[in-house]
Amino acid sequence: MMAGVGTEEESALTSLTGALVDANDRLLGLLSLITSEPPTSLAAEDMINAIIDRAAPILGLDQVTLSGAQVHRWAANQPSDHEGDWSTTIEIADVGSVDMTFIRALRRFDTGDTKLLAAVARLLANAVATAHVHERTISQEIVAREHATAANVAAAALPDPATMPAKTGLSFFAQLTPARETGGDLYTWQEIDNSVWFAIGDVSGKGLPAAVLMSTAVSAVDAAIARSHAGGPSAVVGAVDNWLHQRLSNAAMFLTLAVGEWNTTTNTLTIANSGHSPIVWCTNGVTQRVDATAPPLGVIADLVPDPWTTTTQPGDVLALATDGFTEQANPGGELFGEDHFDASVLRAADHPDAHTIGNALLRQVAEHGEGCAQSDDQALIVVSFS
Amino acid sequence: MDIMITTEGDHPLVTLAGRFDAFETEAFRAALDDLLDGDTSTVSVDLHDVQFIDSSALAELVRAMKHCREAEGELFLHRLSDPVRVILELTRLDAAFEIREA
Repeated sequence: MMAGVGTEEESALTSLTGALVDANDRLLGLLSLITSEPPTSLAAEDMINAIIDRAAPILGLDQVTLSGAQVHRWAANQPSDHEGDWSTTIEIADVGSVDMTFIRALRRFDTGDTKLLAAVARLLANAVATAHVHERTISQEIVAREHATAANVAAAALPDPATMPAKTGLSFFAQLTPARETGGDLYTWQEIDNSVWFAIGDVSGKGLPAAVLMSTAVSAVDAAIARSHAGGPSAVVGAVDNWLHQRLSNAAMFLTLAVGEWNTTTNTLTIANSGHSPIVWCTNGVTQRVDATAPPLGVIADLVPDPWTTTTQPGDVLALATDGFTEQANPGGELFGEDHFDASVLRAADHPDAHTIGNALLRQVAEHGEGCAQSDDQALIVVSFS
Repeated sequence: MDIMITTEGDHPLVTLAGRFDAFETEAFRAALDDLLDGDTSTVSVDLHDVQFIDSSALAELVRAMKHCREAEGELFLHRLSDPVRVILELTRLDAAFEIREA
């Protein structure tokens, strides 16, 4: 009787001691998990493996499975097909529904194990969430870098502002304000013999494709002016079309392009416009739009625009912009618009200096769009005659 | 932008509603490519409820128009809203498209 009681007490004591040792082991295990070195890699697989490598010996785990394709298994013990396996599944739903299965062969998880498993599961779920944030940050950085590259490509293709025409009888202003996501706006100019040549255009689309095609287009326009200027602005647009139509068409893009020539001897201004707007001619206090007479390049091959011609007088102003001006929205969603642009040119044209006029136009569109992101590139050329 | 596809006579009618810009071109392209995948080479696009269209969207319409013509079909633009009509006229793209008022 006494011996039996002694055996029972001894047995209870042994169990209690075992439980205390187990509990202590779990505490030490938990301490080891939470005081481990920070991860050296933020890749999901590396962080998960590091946690499982530490947790598996503490809990005697034979297999851990995470939802998705990540399965961690120890080849020495492959118990999943054995009869008598017990598994515990813990779902953590608030970090992207990561389902986890922990398997230990031949020994059931008890309450203490389950709590420690919950802690391991939380660590794993946090690792997965951290990896996702890290991956997202990297892809955002890649996109931002692509935009920066596109902006640099675009800026490098445009002519140096220091080379702007400076002929007697003419004041010239040009500026391109790029949007956060680069558009395909372009301008260029050249002085050949007695003429000042200029061009403004916009490649459809945004980002790197538009920036790359824009830089090609600037080179094509420069080359066309140099080689085909004898035929006038329409011939220059025709030459650009010859070079670029197929390339634009293949890329499912188009180029609006207006090319102008001002002859300093005859004071004749000629503009050929394929699909571009807005272009506003201001003379004697009245504005007139220089409309496109052909669609943009890349749409229908060999459609050459008819030229628009006038003789300039002192005080006349020509303003050429891109749709980044007219499509700039205000916080109420109202666009700057063509009519507003006409009126702004008329108001600003009081001043004889193209720089002052250009800056006034830029200020007006900026005031209109205050509180709204600039949605597209804004290119502007102002030519003032005296 | 909402894209609704119905049938008009013997060819599909794609009705667009909302803002047609660079963010919407992919969905439009996917819808058109699905339609033009088989024997269909003529498509109508109703633009009555398009409040804004930008150059990326115009380029997408031009691409679809060329696709139809290469397959000896046509892309018809129907019922242009005022903003769409204005931009097609400004760019002279109205000379490139087949436009129908009804």
